[in-house]
Amino acid sequence: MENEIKNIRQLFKEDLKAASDVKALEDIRVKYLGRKGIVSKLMEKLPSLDKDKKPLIGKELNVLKTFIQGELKSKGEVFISKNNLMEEVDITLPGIAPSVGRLHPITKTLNEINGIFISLGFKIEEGPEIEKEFYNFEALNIPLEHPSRDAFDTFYIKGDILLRSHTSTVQIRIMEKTKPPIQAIMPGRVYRPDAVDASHSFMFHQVEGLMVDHDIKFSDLKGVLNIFTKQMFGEKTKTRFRPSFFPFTEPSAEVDISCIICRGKGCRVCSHTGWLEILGAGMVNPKVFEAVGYRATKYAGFAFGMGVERIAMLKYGIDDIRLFFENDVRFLKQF
Amino acid sequence: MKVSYSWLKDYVDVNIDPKKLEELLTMAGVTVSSCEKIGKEYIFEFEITANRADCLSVIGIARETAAILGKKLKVPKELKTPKPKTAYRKPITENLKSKINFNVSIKDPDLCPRYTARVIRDVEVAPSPDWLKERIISVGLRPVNNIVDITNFVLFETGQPMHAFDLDRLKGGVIVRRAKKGENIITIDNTQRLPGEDTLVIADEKEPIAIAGVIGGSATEVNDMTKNILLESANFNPISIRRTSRALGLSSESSYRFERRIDNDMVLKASERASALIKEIAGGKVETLFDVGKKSAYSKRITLDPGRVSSILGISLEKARASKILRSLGFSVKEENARLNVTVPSFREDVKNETDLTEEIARIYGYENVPLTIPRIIGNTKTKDLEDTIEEKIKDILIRLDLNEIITYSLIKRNKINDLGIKDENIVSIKNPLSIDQEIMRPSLLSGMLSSISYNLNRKAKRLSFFEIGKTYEERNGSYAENRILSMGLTGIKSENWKTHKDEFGFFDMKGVFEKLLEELKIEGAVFKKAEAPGLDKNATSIVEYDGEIIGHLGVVSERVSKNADVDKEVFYAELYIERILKKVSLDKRYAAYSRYPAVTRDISIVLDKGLTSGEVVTLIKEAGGKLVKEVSLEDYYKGKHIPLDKNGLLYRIEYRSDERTLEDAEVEKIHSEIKKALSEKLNVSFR
Repeated sequence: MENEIKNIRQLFKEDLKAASDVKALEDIRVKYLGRKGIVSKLMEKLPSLDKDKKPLIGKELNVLKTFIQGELKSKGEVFISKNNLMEEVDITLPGIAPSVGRLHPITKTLNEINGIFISLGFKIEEGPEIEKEFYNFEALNIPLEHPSRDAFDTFYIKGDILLRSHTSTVQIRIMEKTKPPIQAIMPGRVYRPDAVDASHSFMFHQVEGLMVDHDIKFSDLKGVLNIFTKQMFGEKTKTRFRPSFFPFTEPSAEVDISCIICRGKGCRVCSHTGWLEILGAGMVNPKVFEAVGYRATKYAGFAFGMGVERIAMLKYGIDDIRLFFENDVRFLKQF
Repeated sequence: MKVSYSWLKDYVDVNIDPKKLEELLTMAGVTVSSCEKIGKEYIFEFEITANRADCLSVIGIARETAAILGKKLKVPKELKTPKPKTAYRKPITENLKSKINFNVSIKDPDLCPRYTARVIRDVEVAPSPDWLKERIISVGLRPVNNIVDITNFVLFETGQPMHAFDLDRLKGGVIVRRAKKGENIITIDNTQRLPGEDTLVIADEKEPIAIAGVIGGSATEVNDMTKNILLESANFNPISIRRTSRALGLSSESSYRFERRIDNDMVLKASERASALIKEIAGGKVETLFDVGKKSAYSKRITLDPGRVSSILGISLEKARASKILRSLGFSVKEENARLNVTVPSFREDVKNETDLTEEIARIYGYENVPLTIPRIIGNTKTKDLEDTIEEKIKDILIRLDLNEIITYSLIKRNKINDLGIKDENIVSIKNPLSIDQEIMRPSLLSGMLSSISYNLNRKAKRLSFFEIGKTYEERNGSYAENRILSMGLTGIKSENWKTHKDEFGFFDMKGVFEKLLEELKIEGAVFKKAEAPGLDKNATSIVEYDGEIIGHLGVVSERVSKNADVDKEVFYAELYIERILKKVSLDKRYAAYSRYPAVTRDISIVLDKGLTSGEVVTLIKEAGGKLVKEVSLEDYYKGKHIPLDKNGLLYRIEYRSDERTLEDAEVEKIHSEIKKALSEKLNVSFR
């Protein structure tokens, strides 16, 4: 049997030498390795051999088979490269791409906002969505039955338990548990009983910011937010601070950026004003410090808050807030 | 609130481009939301913040304009401070009172600090002159007649609401009191209203004639036949008016101003202004004045340190500049050494302390003139909590595994959680939802996942692979818990292209994602156990256990639950309870040395009883094989044809490898046969 294997190897070598094209190679393959080929026939005999010879012969046969396959392959490659016989590929057929998942545009926007403030030294903090009235209103100097509460219509659960209508609640929670200095941002979900339309949602996301120390100034607030708006919306973005009113800050400001669509010339998106309102801010009202037990004369701080959906809508040109929560794959796949 | 440019010019000499004025006012905090040209007139529309009741009048806006432009404010003589001595302000004498057999009294002073009523006789009710009509139209109202128009004119001019009653239709005097049970009134909008018992009304001796501060009654309304009027100018409790207005679902120009507090000093001045106008326009004799209640108005003294203002704003503000700004806004200021003694005028009840004054100075100084500075950073040594880091990591892994992130509402319809086995007492319900879509806070992320899937299937999406990290909410004995959960859902076509076959998502794709996620989080050795989980089909549900704790579950959504969500496809769903893995996750990567010696692989094809699981087989292989068995992988799983009905065919590939040397064939063969022996003895396996 061993000799037979040797002979076959020799025979194959000669056949291979004589072969002149791919067709001849295929014939040789059938002759040796085909189902009724020379090597296959020997394989079939294997079970009938003596037990002690079987492993050795089996191994040799396998070696032979591998040898033949290898030789055929390399000779074939020679032919193909010589004669370019490989079938021509229609390279216009579509590629088969692996698919990848996407983060929700709210998450992407939040990550971006968080990233900018982290680079400025802020820490991310969180607080509960189910809150006590005290944190949502009283501690923030929003008295009961005051018109200033109109801006903060609220979902109630039971008694004085409500769904927070802004992330400013977390300011109070942080200040209650830590002494200044504080430099933090507080992202999270908030809820307001607003009828749903293209620009209103009963649930949305906010990012709140707070910095408290001995010597924080209004000019610091301007400086920090100026960096934020430029990093978020582009270096050419202009920022404008307008006096406004929030019970928990004083002085308060509404912050506008130059319209990112028309660059301030006036368009539909900015209602032809050239400006887009993107966040509210101000110096922490001393009454808020009093509510958390700080000595109001000892500290100063600034706070700001922004709507994440609003920013994402501006950034991505999304014109309907409902799209964020419908989760249509054709929407999700775009970010 | 609307104000026309020409009306504004009555009180301040302003001659700049209205667009420029719009910008200046807005930048001083008196926000102009629009400035429109209508005919020859410019109409400004203002958005006045809740604290600035004083700006709900043309004079208020004029005062701001004057302060910004450095001009003088001009007001009609009746409105000047200090009060002029006018003929109208005669205190009423007992004698006079009895003569007209009429009285005004406040029964509930807590709800009405001051009430004035002026008798004016022999007026001629007629249409207003053109100039007055124009003013009325410019603020968005309809002219009615000269009397009503004058009350509206003065309301807009001064911010003091007014009302004129037809004196002859009053039965007896005026009583300001709470409504009585069952009392009702037909108001000037021809609506019958039932003021509640805590509502303040203006009544005559018989019945209510007006709902105080909100709307008048039609029975005493001034009309063409009216000869004698009673002109009301009063101050009502803001909270009471706010409640009434809300209860009636009616907000009027009057109620809007009372809610925001009016100037108690303006009550009488405005009455005088209106009386003078009535006399001038409608004729008539201005007679008795009733002025009941508190006469004093808001006043406050504040010491201001310009140095402190400077350090809060980050500017350097001179004392003189601070005084000038405050004076221009109507504050009186006395300089005292380095400080300013400031007296707040009665119309600025919102100004109570130094911070309030700081804001006044800042907005006229101009926010745009405050420089940009960078604060000294505080030096947080940690920027994120573990939860956030892990949440971010999980999201990152899952998008790489081709899942798309969704965000769904945390308020949902109550019936969305049917069949999830959640107890009513643990559900957090909303007391005042706007619609049934917001009845409860979600106790599970499953309903949101199914809603998103249903939404997409209805829009012919074929392949859905979603995840969400969100909170679920529950109440337990009066306290509330918010749990951070990861949910994942797969349904439809897994892959399909022109070259390979179409492949559908199945249970093992979900399990594969779960396993891969755990692997990436370095949670090694989690065990999948058959179990039941809410909303999932009991035949294909697994819980995931790690460190003796259940950290998640996965399976096929049960048909009932799918149907309830309008989903007619099999959905594969999983949840990971993030809080439970926080301490177990390792985000550190460390290099582990791997064997440099070759592996030997051996296949083993078995026929296994249906009651037994692959998990048991693999455990046994590893146990019987010892430490040289490096990996056991399932290569094939089949039923049917050559396999008896009560059995399954499984093909495993076992990889043997040593860390120290090249393994000998014989050595591997020995272990392999021991494995086979164990399998056949312990699990009754036969080999193929």
